[in-house]
Amino acid sequence: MSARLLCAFAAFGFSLLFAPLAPGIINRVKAVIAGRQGRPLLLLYYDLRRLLRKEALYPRCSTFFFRLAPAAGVCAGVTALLLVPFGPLGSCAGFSGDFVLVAGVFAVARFTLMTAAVDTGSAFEGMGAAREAFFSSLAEPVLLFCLAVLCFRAGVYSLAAGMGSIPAAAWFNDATFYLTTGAALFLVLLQENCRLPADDPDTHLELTMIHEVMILDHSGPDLAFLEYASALKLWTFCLLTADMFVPLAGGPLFDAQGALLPGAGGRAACSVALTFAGAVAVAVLVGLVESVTARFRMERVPQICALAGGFICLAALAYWRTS
Amino acid sequence: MLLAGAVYSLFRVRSAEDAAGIRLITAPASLFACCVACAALWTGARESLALPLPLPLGECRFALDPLRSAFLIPTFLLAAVASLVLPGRLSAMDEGMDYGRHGFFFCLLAAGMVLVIQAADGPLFLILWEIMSLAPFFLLVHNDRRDKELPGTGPEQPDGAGGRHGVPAVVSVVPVVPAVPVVKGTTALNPGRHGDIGGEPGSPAASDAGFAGRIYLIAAHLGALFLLLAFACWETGAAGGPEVWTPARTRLIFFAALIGFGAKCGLFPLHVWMPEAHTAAPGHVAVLMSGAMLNMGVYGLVTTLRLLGPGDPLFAYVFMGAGALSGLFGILAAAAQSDMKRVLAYSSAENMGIILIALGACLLALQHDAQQAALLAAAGALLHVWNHSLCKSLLFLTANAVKESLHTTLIPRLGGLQKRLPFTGACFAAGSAAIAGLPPLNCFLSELLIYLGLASGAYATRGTEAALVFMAAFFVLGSISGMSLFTFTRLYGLTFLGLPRSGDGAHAREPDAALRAASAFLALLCVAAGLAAPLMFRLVRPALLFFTGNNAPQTADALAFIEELLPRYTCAALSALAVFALVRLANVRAGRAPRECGTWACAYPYGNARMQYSAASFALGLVLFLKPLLRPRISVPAIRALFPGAAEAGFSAPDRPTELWIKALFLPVAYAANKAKALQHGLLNIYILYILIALTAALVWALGISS
Repeated sequence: MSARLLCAFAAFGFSLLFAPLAPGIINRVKAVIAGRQGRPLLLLYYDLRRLLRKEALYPRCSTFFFRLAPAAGVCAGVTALLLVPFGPLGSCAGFSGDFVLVAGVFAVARFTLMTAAVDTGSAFEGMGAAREAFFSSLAEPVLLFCLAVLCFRAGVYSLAAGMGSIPAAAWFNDATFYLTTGAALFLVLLQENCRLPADDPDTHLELTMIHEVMILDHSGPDLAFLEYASALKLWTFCLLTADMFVPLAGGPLFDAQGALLPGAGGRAACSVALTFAGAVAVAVLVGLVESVTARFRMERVPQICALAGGFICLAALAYWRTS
Repeated sequence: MLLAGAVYSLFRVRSAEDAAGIRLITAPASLFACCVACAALWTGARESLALPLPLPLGECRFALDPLRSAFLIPTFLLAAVASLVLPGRLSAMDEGMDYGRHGFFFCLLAAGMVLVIQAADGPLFLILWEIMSLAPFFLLVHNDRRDKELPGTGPEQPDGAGGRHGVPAVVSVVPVVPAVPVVKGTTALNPGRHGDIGGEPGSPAASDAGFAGRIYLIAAHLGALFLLLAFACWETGAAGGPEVWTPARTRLIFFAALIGFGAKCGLFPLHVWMPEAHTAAPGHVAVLMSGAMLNMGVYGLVTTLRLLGPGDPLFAYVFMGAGALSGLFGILAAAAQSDMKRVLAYSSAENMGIILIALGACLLALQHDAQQAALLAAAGALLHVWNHSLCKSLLFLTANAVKESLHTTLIPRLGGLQKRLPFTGACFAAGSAAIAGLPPLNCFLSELLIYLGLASGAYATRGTEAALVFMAAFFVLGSISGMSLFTFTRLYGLTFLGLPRSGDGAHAREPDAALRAASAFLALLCVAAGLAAPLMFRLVRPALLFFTGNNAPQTADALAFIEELLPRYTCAALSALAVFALVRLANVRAGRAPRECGTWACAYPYGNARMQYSAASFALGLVLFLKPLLRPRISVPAIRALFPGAAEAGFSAPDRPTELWIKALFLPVAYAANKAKALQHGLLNIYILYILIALTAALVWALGISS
């Protein structure tokens, strides 16, 4: 196993371990802005431990699909983390076309979660599923197109090559392109992870929720798995967005076989740390956005996708003009 | 190559036998033929065969090449599946129908499709096309003339009577082809014109099957009219072929073929027959029609391109435009339907659109000499043809099982079927997930290749306007797949999960063993075809070189690119499955002894089955958002009194193109015909007056000419 792969797998393990921090960071930022002390940073870890100790309850009318959703969600998050580049380290299992698979595994997670919600036979949860189905069907093309534009811009169709190690010179040359694409990705992040202004993860009014209402009937370990899955998804999106804003200074770090180039060790450590710091910064940014915006009315939620779509179309046009 | 003839004769022989006999012979024969076609494609075999026949057309020429093999595979496969389930479906259908005739036309449809693919002659192709197009009509209207059955052809007669009855009918219609406009006009106005073949005179709302059959016949004949135009243009063309023709002529042929074949594969504004026909068709017929017959349209388009050559840049743009239109509107219409089978029918229009986008992308890439993009798009298109056949036939089979068990496919009346029909539900779920393009199932693989082809095309043509087209197509394809996830989540979730919305669910039964075996087989193929990505690509590779030509170094590079990518995709998919198994295991172990309880739903204890989110409410957000495109009919009761009574709110998504076609084409004809009735009042003196006027006019004309 090459040095690059080893580092990538280390980053992968690190991500699995620390993904539940992201919601904590967002909450802490919101609390600080609001002048409160806020919940503990590690609250989600405590929650997960508490939930894992409980027993699982299943609605009488539910079927296998209800039980499938938690595992499918976690599996989607793990698979996506296997494909997402950790900055210049690249990804663990990337290949040409992996960007479609990233969108695909999240679609699988959504499909199972929506069917699980409908499976309970509850009107509220059906409502959540309908909203999720509608909004995510608008977000999917935008996400795919964002990733695709980045990939075919590089002429190589994997995420690692397209957005993992953008050379600093190219980044500053085309800052407009990368900034607009990053903005689009960030908006998709808000929408896909059910953050404000698309969805309010804190309310408990069925009529205003999307994600939380779909998991009303999951309990115990199942709920823990679902919470962990959504933390993984949030962290994946944070990493993707951070990749956009953290270009790689200097030449490449690894040779074709994946061995570290002589004298690049320090730079590699720096840029990986920068990427992770970038992901945390994106989480902070989500917290800031949540502090200053209110939740949109349901019929205005598609406007977030429309805005993201506008951004990415502008970026694509900018790329087209300059190519 | 003689195989085609052999299978054909087998089919003919079978028609005289009992329904179970049909299965015994045709299913293994088709399955064997399918394997032979696979082998032929794998090795890239080319054969040809000429049969001297006493036709005025001279000899019949048949041919086999990798492209034809690629289209033969799903046809044979689905013929096998459909004949496997045939006896069970027949026994579930009406008592009084003529089984022999049904079996005959069923086999004729399958054999017609096989022969259409292999025909290498223009006229032969047209004749076989017509046979293939007519057979479904007789399958659709099978029970329409039951009351008017002649005493001699009842079911108590030997089944061969059906065969004898059917052959002259088909033969007699074939020469009618040149008179298609007549058939078109009369069928719309007076369906009784075809009463002696199978239709029945009556009001348009006589029966679903009758209406479906009629609208199918009209669409098929209109399509055939355009095909005839295309072939006539081709035959009367100046010597030399497409290379030396004026662009106007090639474009005329192209558009005529696009309309003709597009009507067959249900492209958007021409899809009008599809929702009706697929809804009315019994399971085995729907399998053949949606899974195999739609492919014929694609095959026709590919053949047209092969004959005309990809030279004209317009072709690529038209293909992509038509594909985008069909894909978007197909899936939008599917999202708003409330009948399972109609959802599936509209989703066929969507998938044909995806295939057309990919074909157009392939053409456009070839024009810009981007071999990699062309290969990717062509591979995606061909694989999507196969994958759509698999998923759609699986979905139609299982939807048919629901129909037989519960006598309805209306989503608002279903729900909670997964508990009662676990096997059917699991197969339907697999089909839904596959056709919604979820990894690691088969449609995801073909969509992955198409996405990559579009991205690669956008890179290879950067800076030209073609790059913009590629990018737009990418976005459109993304929207289509996003919407299809919406559609199939709704379809599966509301039909099979939750609580039964009407009492019928309690006595639902699983279908017979043959149907279950066929569904399981197709579902397994859906999974296997997705995971065995390198194998699938190796299989279609010989056919791809037809699209892209074989100009060595570039093609080899592109092939190497794809052949490196697919195993890695398979590895990623398999490791994702392994991760899933591990996580699921952990989840089960953590769950300890799970208990069952009532649905909590945020402590709302009064929920019942009728309060579940309904099909209409699930789609409402999307429908309202896309109101200008979808143009639904929304009815909201106005509340006037202080204590309003019972009221209904809802929406329907009528098929606007059908309404438009009827308004634009058929209502004027009906109006004119109505007016023309005034001429025909049965008064002898007035008829003599007509003759006098005609004679005088002729005299004046003759005088004018001689002077």
